[in-house]
Parts: sequence; structure tokens; C-alpha cells
Amino acid sequence: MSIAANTNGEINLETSKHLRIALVGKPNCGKTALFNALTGSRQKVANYSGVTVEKKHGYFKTPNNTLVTLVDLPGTYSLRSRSPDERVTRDVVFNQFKEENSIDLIMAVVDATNLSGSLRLVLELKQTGIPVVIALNMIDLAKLRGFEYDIEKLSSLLNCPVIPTCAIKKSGVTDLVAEVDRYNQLEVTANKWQEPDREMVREYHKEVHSIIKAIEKRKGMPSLWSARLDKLFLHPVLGLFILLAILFCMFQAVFSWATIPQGWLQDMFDSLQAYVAALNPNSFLVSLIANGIVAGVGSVIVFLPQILTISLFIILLEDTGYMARAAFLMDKLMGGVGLHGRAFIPLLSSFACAIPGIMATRTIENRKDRLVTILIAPLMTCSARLPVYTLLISAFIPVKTVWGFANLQGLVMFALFAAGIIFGLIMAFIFKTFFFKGDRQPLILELPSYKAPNLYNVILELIKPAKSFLRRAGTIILSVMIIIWFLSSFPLPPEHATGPAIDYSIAGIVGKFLEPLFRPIGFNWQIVVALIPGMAAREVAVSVLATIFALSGANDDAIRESLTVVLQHAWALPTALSLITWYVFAPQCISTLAVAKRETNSWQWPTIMFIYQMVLAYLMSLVVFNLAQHFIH
Amino acid sequence: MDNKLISLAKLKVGMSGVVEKIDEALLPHNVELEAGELERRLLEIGIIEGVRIKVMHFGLIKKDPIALQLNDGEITVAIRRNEAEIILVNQLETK
Repeated sequence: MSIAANTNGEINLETSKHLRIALVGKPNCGKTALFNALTGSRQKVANYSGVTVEKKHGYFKTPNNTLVTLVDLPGTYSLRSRSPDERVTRDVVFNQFKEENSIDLIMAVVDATNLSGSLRLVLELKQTGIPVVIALNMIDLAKLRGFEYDIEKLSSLLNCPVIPTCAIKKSGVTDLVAEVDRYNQLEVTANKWQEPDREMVREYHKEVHSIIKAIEKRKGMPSLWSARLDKLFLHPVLGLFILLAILFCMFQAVFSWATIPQGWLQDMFDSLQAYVAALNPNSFLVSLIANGIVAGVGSVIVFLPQILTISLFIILLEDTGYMARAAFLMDKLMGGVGLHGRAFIPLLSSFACAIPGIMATRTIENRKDRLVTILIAPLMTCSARLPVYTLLISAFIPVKTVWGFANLQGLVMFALFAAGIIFGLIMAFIFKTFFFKGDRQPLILELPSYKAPNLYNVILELIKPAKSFLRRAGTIILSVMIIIWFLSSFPLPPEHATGPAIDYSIAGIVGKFLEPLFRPIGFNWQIVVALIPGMAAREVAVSVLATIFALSGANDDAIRESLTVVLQHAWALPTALSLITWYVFAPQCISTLAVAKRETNSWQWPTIMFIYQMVLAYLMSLVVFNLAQHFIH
Repeated sequence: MDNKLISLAKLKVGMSGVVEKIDEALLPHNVELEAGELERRLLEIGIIEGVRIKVMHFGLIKKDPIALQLNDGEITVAIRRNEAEIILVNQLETK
């Protein structure tokens, strides 16, 4: 999570003498790959104060030992700002953020396979008066397609150094770093930039055209593969089937491949818990460590393989260029409920976590479209719900193969995801029709060439969600676990108590107090107890249940029994279905509400989000619980 | 070569044309942008006078959106039918 900036390290870096370089480029020019190639794992993600756009900083050292802070800016077609993302690029370039030092050098990333798209931005950047170094990126690919450029001439026409690079092979990256050392020779001039109007855009295009004419020694072929693949992926019928198949594979993968390493982790934590518990059965400290910390945190960490699997799919779809095709295919459907085709990407990211999803809505220029997307993002099934779904599905849905190939549990999971999507679209329609009337936004979407994903890049990008998940497990979840253990252990039961200890604890008292409110939807007090800390992070509910049941077990066997088996005996099917339904809709995540507050800069939208989700969750659970009871009895 | 200007939205898959003019007055359904902004955004992505556009793909429902190839594949862009109406092209004969 990127809410709090870890400023300590940064302040030291800011005061020592070093260079600040902004990495600027249009979307899909290989900018992120270049950023990763330059800085490796020395990266930091934080937020600009006042605005809500993520700031990605990386560090590297030049041969002359200059320390460089590389600021990765969001991809943009122009310095003028039409979305919050593009505004950040402009504001960093023009040094609008007071806590930041000014930019010493702009590293402009130019896509060598498509100069005309990138050079206009370079011409704009030149107007700022800040020295510019050009990374002529993806040069290998351009050569492969037959492009040949007079690079020296390009450099003299633009009056700035041009370094051919290929980020994914790291070739040219050393030259680029070496060029930074020569930045003193570059001239700083006055800022002449002004927002280009239509005629200026035309002028820039003409200039770009004449530059290309002068330096292009041979014109290459466009990506034939992209055109061929598009015939398949953008086929009106087949393309949609492929998209559905990809999404289906994603969920089957989460439920079959990811469960194998999950089993290993589970076994590991089980033996660790048993080992710790055996050290001293009568000590409170041992009980806290074994039943509170190890059982609680362990039951959350076992979901790491699933989170990695779903993140891997999203990264691959993004890196290969398929994501934009998905937006193309989904545009009409999204447009039907008044959403922008671009909303598909934030919504898909919300399947990993609503927080990056909500932050990804910044690429939507229109405020109304953006707000609607933010409001429905939490209905997309995030990976934190997986632990809850997994637990309940494996406890209550039999392992069965249906239709010859599909695993019934996977199918139910798919249905839960589908429910989130369908209700998300319905809510979007309602919001659009009643609260955000007005004309639609146009769709202007670049479909980048397909690219093979680069392993190094994928790994670096995959580490980020893993890190933030483990950090959460180590901080929020750990502290909630300790509090829950305390609340469910104290006060101690009376000498000759008949019920399990938790009945007499604070947690038991609170749960029982709130229970009547939730009785109509079939929740018992254990569930109510789990829902409260589950607000901190959805997945915590699982650990709380583990804690409650481990503590309320009548004997040692019950503690050793897995939670799955315990739940099968403790709950009826309607209750389980009702709880699953609750988790599809309920606003069970404080972080999401906090991010919505930050992104919309008001309490109004998170409040609306909380209320509509609460009402929806209660109503849907009520329906499901009563239907299930009706059909089962 | 036919010199009559037609809207890009009239072209079928596989047909091409050279952009001659962008005229926001032709927009069938208003979009929520100030005047001139839609034109500017089209220009910025590269849909500009003189560019060859080939219609590549249509979406399933109402043939919307439209995938376009600019200058023989320099870049591929998707826009909606509504916005395509304002782009006037000189249709090129299909080989």
C-alpha cells in the first residue's frame, strides 16, 4: 500500500547533492521497462501531497558517482493536463510540488517503432527549457522491423543527446547512464511552453513529420503479428469468447494451481502452531503466540499464492498489450451502463485489490465517469475476499466435476466474481441515470503492438503486490490479531464454566449484543465478531474465525481440526451462503474507503459508497438466506 | 480516385481513406467536452489531415467501437462510431 510515504530515506537523499531526473513518455513506449532496467529494485512508491497520484521514485548511480533520483511519471501524450495523471506530469516538470526539488533533466522515452507518436511530446518538452536526453527505446524491435534512423541527425535536429536503448535487453542503458554524467554540458533555457491549441498541435505534427523525413533512412514494416493477432482477439464474436476464456482460466488457475503451494504453507503454519503451543500449554504468552499470532497471521499468509496468481495474470495482460483490446471489446457493454471503455482496466485491477483499482481510475479524464468507476470498484472481487470465499467454498461446496471439465468449487468462485461484476454494472447504471446525468465521454484508445512480456519486468512488478500484502499481514493484520486474541481471551471464564472460554470474553459479549441485528440474514455471533475486525482487512475475518474456533474448541482435538471441518459442523448451509453473499457486496474494507476519500477529495463519496454497499449487502444476504432456507428445508 | 468527402463512420472493414477534415459540428451525440477539445484529442493521438486510415475491426454490438490503423500500421487506435462521424476522409480505392 502506498498511503504513507516512508520519507526518512528520501530526506537524506534530498539533502545530499544529486540529480533529479524525470522520466517522461507517451503510454506504451516501454517507459516502465526502462525505469525498471535503470533502477532495478531500488524503487519507492509514495504519494504527492495534496494530489492523489502515485509517485514512483527509483535510484541509481552514474559512473561518476552522481546519485540520481529517477521520477517515473505517468504516460502522457501532451504536457497539457486533461486527467489527474497528466496533471502530475506537468506539475513535476514545472516544479509545482513544494516538497520536491526541481527537475534537473528530462529523460524523454521515444518509441523507436513509432516516432511520430512520441516526438510531438519531445518537442513540447524541449519548450520547457529543461535539458532533455532522449532514450530511443525499443530500438531492437525497430531494427527488426526494418527501421533505420540517422541518430546523429536526430540529435542535432532536436538539439539534445539521443541514446538508442532496449530496456528489456538492457542494451544502451549503460550509455544512457553515462550520458547523465555529461548533463552539465546541456543548456538550461527559459520556459517557453504554453498549452498547445489545435493549430499548435498541427504545427507540431508538421515539424515531427519533417524531422522524420530527414532522419528516416529506411521505413520499417508495422508489426504484422499485431495485425494478425488482432484479427483473432478483436474478432467481434471470437474475441469476446477469448476474453471470457482468459478470465475463466484466471479463476481456475487461482483455484487449482495456487492451492498446491497454499497447502505447503498451511502445513508449515500448522506445525509451527502445534510446536509453539506444545512449549508450555499453561502460559498466556505461548497461547498468544500460537493461537493469536501464528494461527492468525498464518491463515492470511497462506493466500499469498492466490494473490500472486491473480496479479500475474493482470501484469501479463497489461504487458502483452492485451488489456487495451479487452477495453475495446468491453466498451459497448461498459458504455451501455454509461461507463467509459477505459474503466475496464481500473475495474480489472480491482480484482487484485480495489485500492490500485481506484487509483487506476485517474486515467479516466471525466470526473463523473471516474466517480462512478470508483464507486463500483469495491464490488469487483478483490484478492482479499479470496480467503473468505476459499474457506467457505471448500467447507460447503462439494468437490465435483461438472460438465466433464469444470471443478464445481471453481465454478462457484466464478459465479461470485460474476455476481460482483453484474451488480457493479447495475449500480453503475443506477448512478449514471440518477446522479450523474450528462453527455458521454468520447473513447480514444491506442491499441499498442503486442509484445512478449519480459521476465525481469514481470518479476519486479509481481514483487510489489506481494510486498504490500506481506506488509499488511505483518502490520495491520498482526495487530488486529493480537487485539482479537486479547478480546476473545479476557475476561477469563469463571472457575467452573460450562461453555467455551470465548463465551465469557469481551468479543463474545459484543458479538452477542450485535447478533439480533444480523439474525435475519442468518449470522451467528461468531460471524458478527469476525466482521468487525474484518473491516481492517477482509482477510482478517478468516483469522478471527480461526482464533475464535481454536479458542472455543472443547478439547485439543477441536483445535487441531482444520477450520474447514469445524465450520462444516458449526454452520448450516444457508448461513454460509448468506455470509458469502455479504462478502460480495459489503463495504468490508476501511482502506478502500480511505483511498476513495483521498481520490475524490471529499467524504461525500466514501460515505455514499459505504451506505449503498451496506444496504445492498444486507438486502442480498437477506434474500439468499431466506431462499436457501426455503429450498433446503 | 473518388474525391467526394465521406465520414469515416461510413467506411466498412478493410476500407481506407485519407483524412481531409475534422468537423465537430457533425457530431451526432454530444460528448462532454468543450468545443474544440475532441478535435484536439484526435489530433494528439495522430488522427490529423493527410493521415491514411484503414478500418480494421468493428465491435460486436452496433459495429461499435471501431479499430483504425493509421499510416499502414504506425499506430492502431480505437474510437467510437459517434466520434468517427466527425472525421471526413477521401476514400481510397480498395485493392
